[in-house]
Amino acid sequence: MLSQQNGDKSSQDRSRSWLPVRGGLCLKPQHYHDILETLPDVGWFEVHAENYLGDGGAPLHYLEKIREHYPLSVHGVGLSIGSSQGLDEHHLSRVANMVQRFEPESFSEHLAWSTHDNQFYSDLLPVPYNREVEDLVCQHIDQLQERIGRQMLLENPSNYLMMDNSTQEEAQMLSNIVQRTGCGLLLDVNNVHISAHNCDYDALDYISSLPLHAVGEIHLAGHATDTAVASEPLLIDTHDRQVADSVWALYEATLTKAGAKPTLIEWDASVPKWSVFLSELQQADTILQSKQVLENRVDAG
Amino acid sequence: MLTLDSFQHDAALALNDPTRQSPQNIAGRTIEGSSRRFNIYRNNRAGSLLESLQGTYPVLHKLLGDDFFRTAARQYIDESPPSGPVLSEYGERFGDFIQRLPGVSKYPYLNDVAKLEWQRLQSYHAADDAVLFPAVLQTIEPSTLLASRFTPHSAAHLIESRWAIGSLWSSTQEPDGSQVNLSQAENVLITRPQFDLQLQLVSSDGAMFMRQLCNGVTIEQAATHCLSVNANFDTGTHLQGLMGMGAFSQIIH
Repeated sequence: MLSQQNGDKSSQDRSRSWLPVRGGLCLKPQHYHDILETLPDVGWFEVHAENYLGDGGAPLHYLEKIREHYPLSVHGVGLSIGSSQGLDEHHLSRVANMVQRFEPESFSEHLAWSTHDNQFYSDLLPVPYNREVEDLVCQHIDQLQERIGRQMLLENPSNYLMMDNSTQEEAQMLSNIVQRTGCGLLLDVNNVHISAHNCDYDALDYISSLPLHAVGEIHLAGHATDTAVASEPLLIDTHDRQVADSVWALYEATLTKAGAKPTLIEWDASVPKWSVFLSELQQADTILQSKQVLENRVDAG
Repeated sequence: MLTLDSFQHDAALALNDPTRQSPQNIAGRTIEGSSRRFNIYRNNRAGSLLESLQGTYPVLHKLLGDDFFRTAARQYIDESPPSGPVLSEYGERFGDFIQRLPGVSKYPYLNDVAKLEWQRLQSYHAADDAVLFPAVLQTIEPSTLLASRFTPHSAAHLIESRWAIGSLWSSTQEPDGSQVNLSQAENVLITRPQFDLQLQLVSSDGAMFMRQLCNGVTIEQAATHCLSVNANFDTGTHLQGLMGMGAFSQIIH
């Protein structure tokens, strides 16, 4: 297990996240040229590791160029940390090589599983919250952190259901995992909003019970509402539209508790014009700046 | 208590088979409610894999139409789900699958179009080899040259088809693409001199020469074979032509 030491160089190298406390954007191939030509004022970029595991070609070339100008977050979506059958050694080594090559300021993955019996299910599937799963996830995070030589951030899932073999709260299990592995948290505020609605709990209570000092990054995204059963609407994590007002409000309340944190606007489907991306980013930056001004005042006082 | 492994086993079976009940440990007021919630994962998975196949096969999608493509893709996902999380590596056999579907025998070129699209994607992600340009030929003694062998460029792929798949592919890139005489055989060479893919038609002589050279024989052996098939085979022209397109990365003396 990685311990949290302070001061010496090795612990700095293994730090949870060195992203600037700014708004960041997910990097999309259709924006490579715009970004390199105009070098927009974006705090940092995030990529999915699985989109940059080829041998060469345009994606790696443009990522390398863009990385020369911006801090980078690498976000894994396929390591299946919650799998009962162990991490896929081949995939792990590909991701580790990619992390070694780009030396990102942050690496993150999900509390979820996506692989079983050598089949990839292409979604972030839920795990029950109990001691068996906690032990297994800690073991996988230790293995992953050892392999990539640094701490990672673990992202809270968007939940559509609860399981009757859960014996603890999600926030409790995340706290335990942070404590046991030294990993940080990627707090997806949109996921909290969705899960709290779908599973009927209070979003801000959930956030308050997390170890907020360990949050190295925040995600914001758009979601859809499934009203097929009018009495029981469900929220779906779609990443295909602007961040909802309710999620912006929860984000502000989160920053009041956690302090300003590097914040990503996620948008993976129906990717809009670059200008729409930028306006979402500006909204995050404006909120971050106002929180930072407040924090500085408190510090000065 | 249900172990994680048995839950994931049940969930995996239910994701693969929509007629199967969702896993037992899902808490819900009613079975319908639990199923509705579990179906969100089913839909996410299907949507993600469908989008991936559509991204890999945009021309096939255009030729088949959205409805047919989606139905075929869903069946393919059932039959050949992905084994790993890198989706640009998923779907290699989709063309073979499409070609076997009822009603598709009238369009025997679809599998070759699929091969072209699949190889384009492989070339897009291939290693960044330097291209060996024809100017290098000036620096090599003729006798040494004849005994030399080429290493194909990692992004170079030759597709030899009985159908005009290169012209068909090109016509679909234009908003009002011209009619293509599909019965014309075409050999399509995909290359990637730097980061942009190129697609060029190669004569049957050029394709035969390329195939020989890719098998690792010397230039002399390849030329001898081609001359035995076509007494008018012009080694110099084809050598320069293939090299100019970016087919090779190294020459080994």
